[in-house]
Amino acid sequence: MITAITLIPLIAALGAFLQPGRDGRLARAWALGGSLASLALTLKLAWSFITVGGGVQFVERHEWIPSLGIQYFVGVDGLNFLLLLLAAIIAPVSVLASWDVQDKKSIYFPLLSLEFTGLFGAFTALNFYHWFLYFELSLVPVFFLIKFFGGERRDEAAMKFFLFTVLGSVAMLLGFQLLYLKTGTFDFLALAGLASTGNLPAMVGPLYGWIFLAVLLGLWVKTPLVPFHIWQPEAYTQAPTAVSILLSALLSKLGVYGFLRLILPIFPEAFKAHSVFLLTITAATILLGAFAAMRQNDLKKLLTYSSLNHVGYCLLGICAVGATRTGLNVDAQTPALQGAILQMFSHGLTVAGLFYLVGRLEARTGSRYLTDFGGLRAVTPRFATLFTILTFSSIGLPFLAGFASEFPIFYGSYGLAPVFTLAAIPALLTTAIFLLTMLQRVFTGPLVEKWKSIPDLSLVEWITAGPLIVLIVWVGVTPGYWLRASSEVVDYILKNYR
Amino acid sequence: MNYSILLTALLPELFVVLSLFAALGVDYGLLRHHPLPTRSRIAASIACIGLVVGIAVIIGQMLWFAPRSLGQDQIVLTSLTLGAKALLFGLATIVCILSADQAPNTHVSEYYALILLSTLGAGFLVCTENLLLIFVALELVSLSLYALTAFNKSSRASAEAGLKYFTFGAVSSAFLLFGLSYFYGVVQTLNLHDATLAITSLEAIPPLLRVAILLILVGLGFKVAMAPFHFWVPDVYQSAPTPVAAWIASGSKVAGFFVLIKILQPVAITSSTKAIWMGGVALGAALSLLIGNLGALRQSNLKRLLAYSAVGHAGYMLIGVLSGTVEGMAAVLFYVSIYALANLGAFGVINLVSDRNGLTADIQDIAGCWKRSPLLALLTAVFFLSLAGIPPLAGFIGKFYLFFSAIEAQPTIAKWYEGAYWLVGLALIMSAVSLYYYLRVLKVSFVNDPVDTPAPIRVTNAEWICLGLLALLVLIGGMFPDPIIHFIRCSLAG
Amino acid sequence: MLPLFTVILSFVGALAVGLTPPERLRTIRWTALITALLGLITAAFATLQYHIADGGYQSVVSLPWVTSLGIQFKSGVDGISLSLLLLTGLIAFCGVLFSWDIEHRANEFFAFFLALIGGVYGVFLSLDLVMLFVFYEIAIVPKYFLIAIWGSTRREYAAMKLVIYSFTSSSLIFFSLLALYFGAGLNTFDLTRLTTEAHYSQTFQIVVFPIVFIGFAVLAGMWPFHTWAPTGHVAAPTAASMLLAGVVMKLGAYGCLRVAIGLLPLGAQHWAQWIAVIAVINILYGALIALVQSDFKFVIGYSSVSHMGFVLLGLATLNTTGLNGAVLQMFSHGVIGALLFALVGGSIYRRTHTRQLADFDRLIDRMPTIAWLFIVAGLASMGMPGFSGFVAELHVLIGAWQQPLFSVWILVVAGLGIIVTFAYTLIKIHEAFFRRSATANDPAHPLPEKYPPLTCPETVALVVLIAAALGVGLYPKPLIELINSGLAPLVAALATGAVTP
Repeated sequence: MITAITLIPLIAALGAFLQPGRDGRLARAWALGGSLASLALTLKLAWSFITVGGGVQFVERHEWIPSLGIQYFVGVDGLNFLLLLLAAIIAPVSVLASWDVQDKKSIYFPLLSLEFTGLFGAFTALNFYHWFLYFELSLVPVFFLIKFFGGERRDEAAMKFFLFTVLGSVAMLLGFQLLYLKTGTFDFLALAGLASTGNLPAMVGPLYGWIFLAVLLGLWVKTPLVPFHIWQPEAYTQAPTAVSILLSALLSKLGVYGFLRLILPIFPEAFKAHSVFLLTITAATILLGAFAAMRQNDLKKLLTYSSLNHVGYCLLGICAVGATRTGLNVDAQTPALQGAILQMFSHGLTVAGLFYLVGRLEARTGSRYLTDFGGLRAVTPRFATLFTILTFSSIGLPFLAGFASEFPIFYGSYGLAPVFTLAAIPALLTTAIFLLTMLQRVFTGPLVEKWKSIPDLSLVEWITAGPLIVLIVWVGVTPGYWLRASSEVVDYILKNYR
Repeated sequence: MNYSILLTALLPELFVVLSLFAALGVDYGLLRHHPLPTRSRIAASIACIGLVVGIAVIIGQMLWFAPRSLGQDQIVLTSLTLGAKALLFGLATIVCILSADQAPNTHVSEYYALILLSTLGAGFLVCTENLLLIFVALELVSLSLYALTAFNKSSRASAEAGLKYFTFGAVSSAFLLFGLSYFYGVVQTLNLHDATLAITSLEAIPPLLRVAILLILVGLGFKVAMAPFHFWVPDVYQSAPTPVAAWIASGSKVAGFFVLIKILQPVAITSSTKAIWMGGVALGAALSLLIGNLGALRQSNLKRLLAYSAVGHAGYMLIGVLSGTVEGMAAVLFYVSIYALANLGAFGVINLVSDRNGLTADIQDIAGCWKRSPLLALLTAVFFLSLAGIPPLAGFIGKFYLFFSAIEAQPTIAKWYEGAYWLVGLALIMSAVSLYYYLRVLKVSFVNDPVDTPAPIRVTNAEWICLGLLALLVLIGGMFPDPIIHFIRCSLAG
Repeated sequence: MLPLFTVILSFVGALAVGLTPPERLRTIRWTALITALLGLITAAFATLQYHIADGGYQSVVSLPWVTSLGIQFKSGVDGISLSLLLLTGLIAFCGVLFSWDIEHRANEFFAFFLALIGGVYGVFLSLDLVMLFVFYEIAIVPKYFLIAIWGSTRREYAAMKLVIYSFTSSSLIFFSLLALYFGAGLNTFDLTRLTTEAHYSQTFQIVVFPIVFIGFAVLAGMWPFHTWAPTGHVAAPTAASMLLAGVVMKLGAYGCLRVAIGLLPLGAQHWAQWIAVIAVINILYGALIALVQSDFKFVIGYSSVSHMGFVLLGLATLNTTGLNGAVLQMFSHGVIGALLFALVGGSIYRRTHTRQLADFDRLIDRMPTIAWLFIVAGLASMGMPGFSGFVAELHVLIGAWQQPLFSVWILVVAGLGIIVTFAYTLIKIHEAFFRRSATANDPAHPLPEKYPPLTCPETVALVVLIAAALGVGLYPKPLIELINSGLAPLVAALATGAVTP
């Protein structure tokens, strides 16, 4: 089932690429069809997903490269369930967000579909080998999408994006090779099992710390955290809308997911030892994201920095777990981690929606600059409403997804690492300030003359953004329901941190 | 002495002598007023008939006569010496055929008579173990070759080369004669077999023997083109008529190395006598390798290039001589035969592309051969690649056998002048160098386009057969060398 | 007997093609293609016939040759040679397809081409040192003519350089062959007997190993003797550069593995770390030089040098994983290198008539299919997971980690090399396909809007090569098992070699 979900977009990509006559319309149809098929399968999977007591489900395991003991091993558990779902939801959204791409459709849509394969694969792989395969695969289409369809500085942006990520990947690759050497397996779950016995550092020996750092470096760049975020603003802003959506909603989650899947279960000792350092970096990321966002005029850049800031919250929750010290509130670990997992989901939904709407705005007006806008609520009320809901979710208003996930994070991390949590508080306020300022600049005030006749939401836009809004509200209203998916796996991970 | 045995033993030579007189007689008696080409062809045919009959007789001798020695080793007929003689006669036949289509001057029959004379001399040279006969035979070869070199009377260069060859050759003969007489003084015998016994029974090595060996080496060094006694080689090769150069490079080389091995045999038994000459030969080998191969790099004249390469090849063979073992000698003899075949072929090609068109064997003469005559280009490649030692051609196995025997003779690191390792190493590097200039020729032949509008290459059927046969032998010698090596080795071991 | 037919077929084919009159182009091409295809099919059947479970040398043919010098005609295959035979067949087939448009002296071209292929097959099949050497040398001469006659860019210089390097290095091999023969004292050049029965002393191994290894490694493009490779690759006509990068460089690596390491395990262990140092220099140096090239084909030429560094590194590990990686990388680089040369030297150059990156003007718009194929090939060459290069590099690096002799820095430099590889590949993709050219927009000679599409032979060859790279990348198991069966005795020898002092 998971293999099917992963490979359907690949087939769609091939179909879109090889279709006779190079008719763009067909390419679009292939991509949409592929992503919807994957979504349907994912929903079917989600329907039968057992939230508590199911362990790793929908497992497929086959012998692959016996000389290195590599197996094809995919499965879904509480860690990646929401991410798989998120990816499946965002995939059609990004196709729809590209609905009016006119140029070179027979390149655009195959690349987009290929990207879905990479993401589905990376979220479900449980063996390093093909996890890495998909992890790298997910870079390629983005690189070329930016290179072909990006803004003016696309070449630099694409190159920077690729090379930075590869730098991290190579470090991670070398680290995992060493880990394989000492343990004889590339299997994430087997490695986690070894780590939970506490024998791993002894098995690995003096290089344990280096391996940890190598893996960390890969995720550090991918997520990204300061100071390796410098590839991010250009990539996000130069990319076409759909790619910005994918980058912010899914690719950044790949990094965070890496922390949850690789760092926490496999390197508990090293993670604990470095948690203060990591918290410092995280706090810096959160603050930098928030304050940098304040100074932006370009809407996309603003969202980029805000995304940096919000992904930072995920890591705050995660790293706080590592910082658990005796005497602090151990019970706070669960909400911190669960919150982080849910935050990935809700931030993915929110930021995808925001980028989508900014993209639509740009399509209508040709501009993304705050200073160009004003009073749009008057001409596009429905657009403004959706935009506002998404922004509120991003700010963290109760009953919306942002709050549902950020609250547990802050609750948990305050219990575990109060100093850093307090340090991050100004960011919360700043976020609120710049997001509200954005709303105000764009939608209120005197209407700028030249935007007088821009249309309100179209049907396609409703179809695209509507489900996101529904989900955001759903998550916001019933957070417990969504948090429950990760409870079992969080318990398992936290065994090493009690 | 039983004269009938002597007659049967010398029957091949007799036929050659007969054909010599027949050629002269027919030409001057009957054909004086015929055009030169006809005369040349007829004289060549007569010479060839004599040589081929000679070869046939030699084969008969090999099959039906027990090995024997006549007149106290004045004439030794073993399968080896007979084989060498057959090879020499064969080479001479091909030289005659290559010359047939263009006479160097009006004295056509004398030309073939001289070639036959030198063949006779070379034949005696390989067959005798008598010091005096060796010298006489060597002089017979040399004198005919001097004359042949200068045969192109209209060419100043040819005359100059003849004079040079003569001067150097005469001096070298003098050295050799001195050396041989001192040698005689030490061993008190002209018979090499007895000389061996005499030397092994010596208690201390008399200084006279050292001088003798040194002088002999110098004398023979001239003949086999060993550096630093190689100065005559480039000029002679370049200016002599090409078939003559081919004959000097093949026939006289075979004979020269045969003699060298033969003369060194008495002093190659004990290590104390070995020490006398090994240093000199090692030095000569190294110098020949360096001068020959590096010198050839800069040559733009094909014959000069082959001349330098001949010096280089002398260096390879001296490594085999140096090993002083039966295996080493077998390797040298195998190599020199193979070398003679390939070299003759190479000169044959030059004869066709240059001399026939009145050119001076500049490397550009062969340009565009692939277009003018693809088959000839292919043959060129076979000859030159064999000289370079590329498998599966015979040159490779030749080199392999030489180095193999050299290392086998000195399995451990010995004195510097025994030199198996460093000399083999040097030779290997130099053979890489040699590939450069051989390939340059092939490049011009295969890659370049013809210069201007070249004359077509005219090749007679007989020449095709000769060159084809040579190429085939070179190929077979490389692919199936075992019988030949086996033959040489067995006949050397007795 | 079956594997031997690859050699026979190629030489017979070479002869047949060479004797065909040059005007009969169709006959020549089809004969060459069918010969190459039959070679590939023979190799494939030989692989199927091979019993992996039994291992060792199979289909052994042994005939007396030069008995007086201890030389035999002995051929046979094991897992390693089979995988390389397959590679040779594949590259030969694609090479002929990429030479489809050769009209100048076509009969000679294909004759040399097939002769070269025959020599290469012969090396992989030989079980006698001299026979191996003979085939090794047979492969040298056709290379010269292929480059000197049909090449470009200083072709005569490059051809001569290539040949002199090959020949000089082979004189080292020649020398060491004699040393191996007399050192063993078995009166045979039989590789199998020398492997099992010869007992070379440690000193002997330590002295002789570098001679043999360097002798072969020059052809594998080992730094600092790699300089023949870029010039040779660049000057060669497309099919010849495919062969050079694809299989000829593998001859060297194969010799290092089979002769140097196989016969002198103690020497190998003594020198392993130095080889590793040179190997990573190869990786990084090749990549860095590729980064600054302005001629597209030179980029690929240096990338070959860099990739062969991985082969050398794999060889230096001396353990199953690393050696497996080395052979895999030979196969992988063979396919990918050939693919890149086919695209750059063949498909692109035929259309643009320039290889200067500065003259390329957004080729992605002008030749989209070729550009995308190159991008895929470039990704494969980078070591993108999913392609054969990644599997191979993974094995090599893990093997290197396993070798306790290596310092961590070797791995770090190798990692740096991978990053630079990513960088130059992307940068060159950008320069070639995405950049607007400052110089090319001469209004007098406007560039065509669209270049002609891929021809049928080109398409077949490219698809076959990409499929091979992807197939091995995604499902390397059969190939790895094949290689492993060949490596098992070697590794066992290395292990026992270490025990006896």
